[in-house]
Amino acid sequence: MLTFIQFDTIVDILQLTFTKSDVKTIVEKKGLTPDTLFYMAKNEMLESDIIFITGLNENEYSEISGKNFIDLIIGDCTTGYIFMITDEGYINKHIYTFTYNKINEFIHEYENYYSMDFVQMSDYIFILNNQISCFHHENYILKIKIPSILARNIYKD
Amino acid sequence: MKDDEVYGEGNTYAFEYRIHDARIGRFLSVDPLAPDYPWNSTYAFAENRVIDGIDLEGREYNKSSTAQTAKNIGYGYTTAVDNTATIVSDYTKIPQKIQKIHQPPQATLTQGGVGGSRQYKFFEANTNNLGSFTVPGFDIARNKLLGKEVSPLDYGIEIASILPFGKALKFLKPLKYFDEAIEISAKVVKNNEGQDVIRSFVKNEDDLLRIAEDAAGGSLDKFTQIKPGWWEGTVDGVRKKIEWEPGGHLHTNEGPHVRIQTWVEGAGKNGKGKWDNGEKYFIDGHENYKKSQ
Repeated sequence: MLTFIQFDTIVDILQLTFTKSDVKTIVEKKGLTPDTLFYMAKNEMLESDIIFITGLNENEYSEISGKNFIDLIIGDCTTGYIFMITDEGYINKHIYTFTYNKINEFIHEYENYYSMDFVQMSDYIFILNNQISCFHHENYILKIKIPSILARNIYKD
Repeated sequence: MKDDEVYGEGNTYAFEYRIHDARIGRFLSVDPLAPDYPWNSTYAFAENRVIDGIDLEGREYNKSSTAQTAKNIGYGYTTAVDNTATIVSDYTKIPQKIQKIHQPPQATLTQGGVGGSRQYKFFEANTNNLGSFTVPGFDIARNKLLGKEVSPLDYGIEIASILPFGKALKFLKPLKYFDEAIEISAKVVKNNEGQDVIRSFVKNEDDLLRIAEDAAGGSLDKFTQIKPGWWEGTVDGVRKKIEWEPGGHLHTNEGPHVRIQTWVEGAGKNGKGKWDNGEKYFIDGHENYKKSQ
């Protein structure tokens, strides 16, 4: 069963991280996307990296397993809860959440629920304990280092 | 001896029926349709109506830049390489510069996806890149294999992929839900990683929006906005996702653009669906975010 939290909750959490931005207004006008997160990170003078994934074309998306895809994006930030925003979840304002050790179960349920491959050429945002990692539909990974996400306080391990 | 060595580079253009000398704005030989048009100069280009017309392969005037032009030539498109004006009545009549070697395109179904290729050969002295090319795009072959509609844009982009770097292939894209056609310019450019990629360009933001609206069946309001900048819906039984981003992306340094993705049922793992790469359009001269501001 897919577990999610409400959109407003994650907006409140991000506001605690991006103190110099009006997160709610930005998200309402521009959406919660890799673009807006990058904008707010710059505003906050947070360290962020952009990594371009070369050679990943349309056909190869199906070759990547969901777990490898998530590993690629989040790196070694594997502790605590992972909050994930996708286009599919965005429609219903659902932020999916799972722990790293349940990653395969989550992907299986997600694929069955939406009847689609988990790995798509879409935007993905993962909010982690000390990092926000995004996959942009143009094959970019954006990683924003944050001092403390406070998201860990929503659910305790 | 090549034409360019006599006339200078880019001064002569080989149409299907005649050679045109751009320096004097005249063809070098008599119009093959001259007996049918006694009131016209037999050497004139597009009956001298170069403001609103183009010349159909060295034969006759045709009104340019309207939906009518696109309709006159059927499901074809107008091509122009380096501003040469050449009408191609259908994709099988690619101008002398380029000729297909393999027809139909070769396509194969492999585990996890579909691949295909098509070879072209350059003949025209207008380029130094003479030789054979295997097109890396696969779009036409793949789409045909998947039973998807193949549009003039697919052919245009595929041909553009083998043009010399920076040279544009221009053609008219007839819109389905509007009585007009949009001029598309496709060319190979460098992406942020320095790789050669094919991009499609329109002239202005109005055209960019029109492309998005046409993909949505006439208006983006017919689709559901899933998040700012993105719409999803079904048109003509096909599920589509449209990105209309007039502001561009800061972190990818992309200018205003439209992306149209199509849902491909059964193309993913275990028979599940997936979104394709889609078509992507920029405004010519505004492909970078910084330039657009």
